[in-house]
Amino acid sequence: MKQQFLHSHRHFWLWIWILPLALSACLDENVSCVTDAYDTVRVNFLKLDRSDVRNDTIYVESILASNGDLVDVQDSLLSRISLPLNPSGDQVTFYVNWREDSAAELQTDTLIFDYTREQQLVSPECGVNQRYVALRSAYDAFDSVRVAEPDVTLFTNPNVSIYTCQYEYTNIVRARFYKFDTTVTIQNVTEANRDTLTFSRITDDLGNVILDERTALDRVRLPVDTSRNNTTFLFEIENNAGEIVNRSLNVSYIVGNVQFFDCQPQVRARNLDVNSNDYDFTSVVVDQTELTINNNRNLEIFF
Amino acid sequence: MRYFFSLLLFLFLVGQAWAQEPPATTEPDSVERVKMQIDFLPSALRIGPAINSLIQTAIDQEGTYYGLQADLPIRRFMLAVEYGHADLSRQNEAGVPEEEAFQYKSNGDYYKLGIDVNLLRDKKADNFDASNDIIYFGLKYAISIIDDQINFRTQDNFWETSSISQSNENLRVGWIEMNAGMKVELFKNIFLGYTLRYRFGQRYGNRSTLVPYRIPGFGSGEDETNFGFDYYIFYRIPFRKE
Repeated sequence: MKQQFLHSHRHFWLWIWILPLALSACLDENVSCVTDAYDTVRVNFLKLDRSDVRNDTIYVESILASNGDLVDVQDSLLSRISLPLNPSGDQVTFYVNWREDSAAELQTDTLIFDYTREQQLVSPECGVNQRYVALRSAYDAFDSVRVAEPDVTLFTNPNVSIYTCQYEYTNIVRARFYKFDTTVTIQNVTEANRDTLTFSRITDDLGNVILDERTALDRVRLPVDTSRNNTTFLFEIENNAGEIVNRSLNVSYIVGNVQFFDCQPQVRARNLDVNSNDYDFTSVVVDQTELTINNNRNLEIFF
Repeated sequence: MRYFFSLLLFLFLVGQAWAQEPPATTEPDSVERVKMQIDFLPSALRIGPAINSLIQTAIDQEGTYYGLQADLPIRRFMLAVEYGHADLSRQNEAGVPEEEAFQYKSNGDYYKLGIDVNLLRDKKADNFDASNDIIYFGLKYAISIIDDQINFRTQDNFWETSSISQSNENLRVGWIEMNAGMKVELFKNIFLGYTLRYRFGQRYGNRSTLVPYRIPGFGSGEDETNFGFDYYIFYRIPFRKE
């Protein structure tokens, strides 16, 4: 027996070395009470402008939760909000009353979030934790809502991004009329040269009527047909002698579709062009080639 | 599971390569043939309880834990099995306000099956016989089946508070273990040993939203991988005379 014990002696130091580990195995319930569990979903507002995303600030008048209580963010200009999740249910609904700014029209949008609650005993000393995971936007009335972080923790910020879409593309060509003056180059034309013409009728080559009553205008909005790459407009203009003269203008452009994030797709008309053979005005100059709501002058027309 | 069996195959091949036994050059006679047949049968059964589980049961007044490990040495390999049980209850400490009170109970078993390979050469016998002193490495597939339940009240300043009760019934949890350890014969047929464990690949079967506090044989229900350690005392039952 002694010999066998001595035979094992070569391993004895290993037993001694490993002994503290055995003791620590009995004490593995000593855990920290600090966890990253969090019960509030963080939402930020973003504005989509072409491919740029930038922080948006909205005027939040009130946020009403489905239990009838108001979330504490009333009458504030905010770029982010925090919404409490319900520890007793798997869905929360919030009605957000907001304006683009304090003077703008009041809008009410609904947000419904689904999520899964996971329960876990941290330790007898720390108690029970409930974690909110698999957060999902079940319904929203905003332009676009994207869940960036479906697990709600102390360190995830934001969980949800709400995008306000800027539908800036249009099929409207904005044209302004100018007096033709040989002393001023077309490139240096100023607002002092603007011309007010009396139109009796404006139509396009498809027969669509753009204007049908005698009107004096210094600018017109001409809707192009985005199912093709050119549109011809026909103008009936009253000259100084009171006679009706006809003018035509053919514009060409390239049509495409663009979609930013979850916003609706937009038809985009760009590369607006007018050839010298395509009009019978004195002169036509293309100023801005993309048709957007931000442009106020695509064409300068010299009658 | 497919990784587990691939690893077992790898372990077997590595063990064969390490054996480095010279190939037979002549036809074995009848005596050698009988000896070879015997060599591929288990030479003993070594079985024993986990000492640290027994200590834990003695310390923890609201839990019972035990574990058993057994192995069948076949030349340098061991077919290893483990079984264990754990039941525990936990509740809030005394003096905690009623709205923070909770109760948790769990009850479950675990089963592990795998192959160990002895890495310690017996210098006297000039072999790797796993029925004697061993330093080993092995792989096991493990499964635990548990029932647990928690009761508590929610606490919130905005939403109404409510009582929540959540449970798992026959929850199956599977994982793979990489083991290393030693078994040393202190007295005739009495061995002491320990097993270091790296557990990984934890998968829940049909878990509810309740995360188990402790998975028998594994540890915290929140872990996907962890390390463990167990002390054992074994009794060896030899199947044939040395």
